Amino acid sequence: MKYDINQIEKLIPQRSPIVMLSVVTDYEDGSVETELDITNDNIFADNGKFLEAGLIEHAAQSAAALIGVENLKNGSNPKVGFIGAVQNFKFYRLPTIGETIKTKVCITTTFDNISLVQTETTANGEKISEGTLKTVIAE
Amino acid sequence: MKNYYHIVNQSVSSNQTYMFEIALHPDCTIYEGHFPSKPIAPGACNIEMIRQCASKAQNKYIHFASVDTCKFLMLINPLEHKALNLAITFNSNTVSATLSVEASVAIKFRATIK
Repeated sequence: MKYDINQIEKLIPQRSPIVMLSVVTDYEDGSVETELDITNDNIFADNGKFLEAGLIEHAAQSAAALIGVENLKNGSNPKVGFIGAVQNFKFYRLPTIGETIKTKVCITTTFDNISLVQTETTANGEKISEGTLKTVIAE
Repeated sequence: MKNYYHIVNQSVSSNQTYMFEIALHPDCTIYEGHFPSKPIAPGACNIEMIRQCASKAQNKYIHFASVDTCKFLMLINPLEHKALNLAITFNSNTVSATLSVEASVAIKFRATIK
């Protein structure tokens, strides 16, 4: 199942200028794949690069989109989610403006409204960052 | 990340802790999207603010090889929590930071510098 930029707003509560997803390219139970086209007007663009904070926000919104797809299937609206924690999040290379980054997110553990997710981001076929996020969904 | 905050005051304590008094800008356009119904300072923006202040403390561009741990302990509403305190220490290639709102710790952060 694919969700384009116009449908992203059904999956996540964030709105411009902090939407860090361009498309959800694939979904299966417990995992999702997303993409972001990095443009020079992105708030996390700096000196031609896309910053660490942008990679974390993009990964967190990918995780939120995964929860959003599952909510949408159950007929509910996007819920406001927050990053509870970032753990062992590695940056191998900062992507450059104009690149498209691809991220795969898998839920490893869920307890109540807290999920631990593993994220991996690639650009041009090369792994550029990976890490663990704890996401918290507000009721 | 334009117009997100400004540094009100900056000092260094005797144990080499860099202290920043920070004012968030509730009128920053980021809050149009985070979130339309209620402004919450994005955790990622606070990580970028820590990177910028750490760079200022060291007087050079700092980038992270990894964010080893970053715990978000409270939500920061820029309308209510305008004044923040950021304490940063360096130890070989790691940077540790604590962001506080009055007496409450909002973020505990540790990263490895590239």
